[in-house]
Amino acid sequence: MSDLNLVSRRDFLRLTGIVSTGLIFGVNFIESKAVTASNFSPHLFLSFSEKGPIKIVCHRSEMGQGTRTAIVSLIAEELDVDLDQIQIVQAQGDQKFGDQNTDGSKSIRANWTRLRQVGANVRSIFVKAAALHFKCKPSELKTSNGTVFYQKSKIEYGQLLDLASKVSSPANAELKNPSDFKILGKKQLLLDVPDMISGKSIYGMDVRLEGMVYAALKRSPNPFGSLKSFDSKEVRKIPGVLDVFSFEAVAYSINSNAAVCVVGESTHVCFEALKRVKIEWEDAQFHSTDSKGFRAQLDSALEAADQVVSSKGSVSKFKTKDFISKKYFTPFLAHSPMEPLVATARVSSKGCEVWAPVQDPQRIRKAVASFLNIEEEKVTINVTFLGGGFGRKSQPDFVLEAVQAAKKVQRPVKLVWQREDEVKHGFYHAACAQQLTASLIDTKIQTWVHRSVFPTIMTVFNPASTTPASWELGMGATNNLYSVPNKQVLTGVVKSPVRIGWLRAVCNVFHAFAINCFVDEIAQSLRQDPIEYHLSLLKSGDEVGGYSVDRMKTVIKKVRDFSEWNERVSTQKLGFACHHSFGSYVAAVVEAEGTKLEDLKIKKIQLTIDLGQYVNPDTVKAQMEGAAVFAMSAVYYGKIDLHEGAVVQNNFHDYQMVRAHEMPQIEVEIIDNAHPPAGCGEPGVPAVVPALVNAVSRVINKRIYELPLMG
Amino acid sequence: MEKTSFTLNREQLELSVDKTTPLLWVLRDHLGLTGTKFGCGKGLCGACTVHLNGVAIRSCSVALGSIKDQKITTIEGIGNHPKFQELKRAWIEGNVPQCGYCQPGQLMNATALLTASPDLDKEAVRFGMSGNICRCGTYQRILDAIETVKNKEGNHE
Repeated sequence: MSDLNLVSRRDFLRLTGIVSTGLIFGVNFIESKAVTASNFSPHLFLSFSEKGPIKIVCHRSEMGQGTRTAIVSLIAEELDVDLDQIQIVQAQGDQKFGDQNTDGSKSIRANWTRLRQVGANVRSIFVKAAALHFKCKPSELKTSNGTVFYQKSKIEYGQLLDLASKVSSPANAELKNPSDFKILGKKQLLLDVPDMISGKSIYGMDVRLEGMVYAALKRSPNPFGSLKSFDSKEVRKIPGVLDVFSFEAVAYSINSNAAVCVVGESTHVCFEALKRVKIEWEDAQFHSTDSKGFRAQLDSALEAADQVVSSKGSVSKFKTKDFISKKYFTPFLAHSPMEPLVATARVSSKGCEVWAPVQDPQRIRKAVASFLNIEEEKVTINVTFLGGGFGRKSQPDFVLEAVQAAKKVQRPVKLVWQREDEVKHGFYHAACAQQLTASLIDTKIQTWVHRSVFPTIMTVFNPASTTPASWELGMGATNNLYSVPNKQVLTGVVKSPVRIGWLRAVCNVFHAFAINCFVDEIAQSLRQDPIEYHLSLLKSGDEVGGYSVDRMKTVIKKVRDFSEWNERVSTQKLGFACHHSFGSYVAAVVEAEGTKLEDLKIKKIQLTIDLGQYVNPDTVKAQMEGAAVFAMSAVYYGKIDLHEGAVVQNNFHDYQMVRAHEMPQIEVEIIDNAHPPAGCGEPGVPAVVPALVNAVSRVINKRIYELPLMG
Repeated sequence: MEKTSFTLNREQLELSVDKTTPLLWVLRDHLGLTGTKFGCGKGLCGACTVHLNGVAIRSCSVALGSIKDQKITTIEGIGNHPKFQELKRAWIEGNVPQCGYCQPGQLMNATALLTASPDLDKEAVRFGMSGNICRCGTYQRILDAIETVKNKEGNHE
């Protein structure tokens, strides 16, 4: 280590006890991986000790959706312990925990019954143990808040550990009746908040290891480009620079870019040194692509779109003059979580250990093992808090970069992305061109033709893919709920000039945008109320791809009534939209104010969601609020442009986010029913985007066919 | 290397770190205080907000050399600040954070804002907080939490 680090360490030691919680916690975080001290672990997810909290594992990644509190709530409810008795243990990436891919708004859906069952089974162990203790029948016992009650006596779970370890666990203990829930369905305070707001929670960016060095990359501006040459002579002389070397692009399914890597003694040294590396890049196939050219490609792909992906009745039968046809365009979007991408890796002869904010630790583990050509058992993936994810942290590229660097320098390396790297080297939400055509008799839609073309996410797995997958079109296009006798969805061929990835709600966003704006325009041209017109397109009793039209109608009516739409619609500039995705149903009403884009103000966003049963109503509301803001950013500002094959935008000044002063009032109503739980993190976005656009179109007195508004 | 002295969280400090290093990286990499977050590196997002003599600044855009002999407070050292304590309570009770990454910066900004101007109206608070981006979109809860603290103030009078 250099003097610089020795000095700062000495300075740091003088500070301990006063200001060093960040580091101390950091060390604990790392150390805690080795700690398994527990007296009794009746299940992979649970361990008890005589004193101290009950440790419950969360195997899903926390990126703001409240999953850590929610996952442990499922177990705590049936175990009959209060949340304040629990310490959450974040699982490493390992198949033994079941699916850990935190994606598709499915953490609760996939674990609602499974983890409640774990809690119920373990509770019954304590009941059996208490029956031995009290010499009574289990049926004579009751539990509450981690305590077993027998007549006037009671005993805590923690005092029953010896007996509990001797009784067998039932496979299927009886689950609680939902009417007896004490935690599920009730507002709870999130367990991680106190540490988060004290700066103590350890995100990927905050990992610190003994002997760790830092790294940053300059990646090929063109995502498919390669390195021709680089000159690092001058850079190597910079104090604090330890090494400079290059990475080749790693092909799918890693999809990392070719890059020059600087390893140094601090993040800042690496960032500064990179500015002075002279690099020549090799052009790639999309080197001449710019946004205008790509738009032209998308437009002609739309014209040529002739692959029928779903069909009902005969759309060619109707040769009526009474038809309407509109085209819609939405651009590439970047994820821009507040925490830029980052990963820390240590590679030795024993294997590889990673600390990173990853959504899919099992995929990362496989990818690292395969890259290093070692067994998966030799790879440990420690999941930190994620400072936002939105789909970007599902990709393995940034972890593999850290592993490559750590392997090269044979020291622990934290590889930090700058914001510009995140904006310019994303896996983007696909740009999309659509055309909707409907023919009408009176007010009734007789034919519905939906063309949708966009570069497919499947390019992540097979770069030769050029046609959207059926599951992508199934996000809003082929699973459209309208009752129309003749319907067709078509797609076509598009080559992607960038890497495509999942972004919150994925293809639902652009499909819901086009469909809702189109129907709103039809209603407007027919002088019909948009909500009533939407309802007229939905036929009670219909089911499409597992979605119930009646549940959608209930949600629409609920938002109409609670927003007092009927009372406000003649005097205010209101927009409506609805969408079903990830098993949930959302409808939104937006109030806009102003006369033109320059004085546009979104005053209010009101949302209703039916997601079946849910864990924490306050988290559901928070996710809807967040989705509304996410949608506003996309509608106002979201756009990634290309010039000579490279991304134009840089940072938050030209890839803007909605800020506090632009905030409308957001109100959320949740439908209560007994349906199985559905998605929460994503379904809000697709409904709010078109509701905003429909409201804004009333402000500017003009229909809107392209996003973003301020671009 | 020439040393830079300053006060960090009420403790006098002398550092031999390149003076052009942004305070953010001095805190995070050299001192291990990782509660101050890196978001953009250009003073655009507010994730790295700390206090310079009680005023909110973006530590990514302030060089170590420029804070010589000044007082810096980070999220690790703000715990006893009465305004911070009130805000922290409101943040917890309001379930404000989602991913939480921007929240130390949001709280540092809100603490400085309310300490300097306890009587700001709602609109001024909105603009006062507009330098801090939250990609999760927790703004409504942030603004509500700040209003709660302001209203409690009013009740005391």
